[in-house]
Amino acid sequence: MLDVGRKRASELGFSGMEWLQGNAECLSSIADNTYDSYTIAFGIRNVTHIDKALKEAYRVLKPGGQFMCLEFSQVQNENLRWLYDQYSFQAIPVMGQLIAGQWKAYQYLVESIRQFPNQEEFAGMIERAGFAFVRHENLTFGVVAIHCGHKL
Amino acid sequence: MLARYLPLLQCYGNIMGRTTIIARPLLASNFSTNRTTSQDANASAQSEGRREEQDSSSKEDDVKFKIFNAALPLVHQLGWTKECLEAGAESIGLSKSSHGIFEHGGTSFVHFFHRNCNKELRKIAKDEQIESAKSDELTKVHQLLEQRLQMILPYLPQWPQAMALMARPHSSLDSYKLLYELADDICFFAGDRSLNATWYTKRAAVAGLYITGELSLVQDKSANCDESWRMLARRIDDLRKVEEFGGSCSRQQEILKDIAQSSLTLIRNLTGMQSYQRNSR
Repeated sequence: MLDVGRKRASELGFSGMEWLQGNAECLSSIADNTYDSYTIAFGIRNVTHIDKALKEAYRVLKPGGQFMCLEFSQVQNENLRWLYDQYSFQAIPVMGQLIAGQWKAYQYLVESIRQFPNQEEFAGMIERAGFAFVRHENLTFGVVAIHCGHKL
Repeated sequence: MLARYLPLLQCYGNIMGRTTIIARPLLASNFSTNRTTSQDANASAQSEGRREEQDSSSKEDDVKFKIFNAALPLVHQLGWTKECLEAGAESIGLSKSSHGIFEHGGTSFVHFFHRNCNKELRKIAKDEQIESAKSDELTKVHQLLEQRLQMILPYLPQWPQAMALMARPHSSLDSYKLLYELADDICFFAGDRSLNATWYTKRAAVAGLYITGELSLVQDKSANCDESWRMLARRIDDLRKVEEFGGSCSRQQEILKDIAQSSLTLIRNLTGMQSYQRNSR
C-alpha cells in the first residue's frame, strides 16, 4: 500500500512526503502535538479499537489541529436504506466474485459497514476522545460521511 | 418569548376576521405608539432571556472568539479570508488548521463579526440604559443605528468584500437572520412594544435604514463619513414626518377603506363583472 502511495505521489509531482508504517492505535514513533491535521479515509472502520485510534489522533495533533475522517456510515432515509442494503448484500459480493474473484472479501466489506457506528454515535466517540467543534456531513444520502473535529 | 410572536397571531386574526384588510394603517402609526400593556414586563423579560442565552459563552466559544479577535487586525492585509483566520490562529499559538472552526472560511468570519457586533450593541443598549432614556423612540433608533454602523468603520476598505460574501446565495439565509436580529434588537431597545402590524413595518424600516447606511458608508468620500451620518439623520426625519402625517389612524382608515372600495368597483366595471350585479338587482 505504501509503495502504491509513493508511486502515486511521484506521478502527481509531490515531494517531501514521509511514508511510515505504524499502528493507528499506538503511534509510538510520533511525538505529542506534532501535526496540524490528521486525516483518515476508509481506514478507521478497520481499526479494532476505534477509541484508541481517536485518542492517538488527539495526542499527535497540535492545539487547534483538525481531525478529519471519511468513512462509510448509515443511510438516513429508510427507503433508500432498504435499496442500499439490497444492493450491498445481493450485488456487491457477486460483482466482487466476477471482477476480482473474491466473494468473501466483499461480503466482509458490506458487513463491516453495518458494524460501524452511525453518524451520531461516531461523533459522540470523537467528542469523548477530547475533540471539540465536532461536526459531520453526509455524502450520497449518508452512504459516506465526513466527520471533523478540532483539538483545543 | 411567546410575547414576541403575539403580533403574528394578531395579524392572522385580522386577516381572517376582517374584510377591509387593505385599510390597515401601515405607515401611519410607525414609531408613534406609546401603548403600554400588561404584557410589557413579560415581553421584555422573555426577549432578554432569549438573546442572553446566545450571549453566554462556553469554552468552545471562547476559543473561537480568541481566534476571531486575533484575526481581526489582520483583515487590512489579508481580507476576510481563510488566510486571515490562519494567520490569526498562528499568532495566538494555535495550529493553522484552526481556520476549520469557521466552517465556511471568509463567510463564517464575516458572519461571526456581525453576530459579535450585534452582541456588542445589546451590551451598549443595556449599559447605557437606552430603553429608559427620556428621548422618543426614533431618536433612540437613530442612536443605536449610528452605534452599530460605527462598528464597521475600522474595516471600511475591506467592507465591500464582506458585503459580497454575505450576499452570496448560500449565505443569504444567514444574512436575513442577522439583519432580522439586528432590526429586532434595535426596535426592542428603542422601546417598541407594539402588538399589531407596526411590529413588522418598524423592523422592516430599521433593516432598510441599516442597509442604506452600510451602502452609503462604503462609497462615502467625505471626511469622517459625515455625508452618511447626515443622510441617516435625514432618513430618520423623513420617518418622523410620515408619523406626523398619519397621525389620526381612524380617519386614515376610513379614507383607505373608501379608496379600496372604489378601486374594487372600478375593476369590476372594467372587467364587466359589475353588470351581473346590476342585472341581478
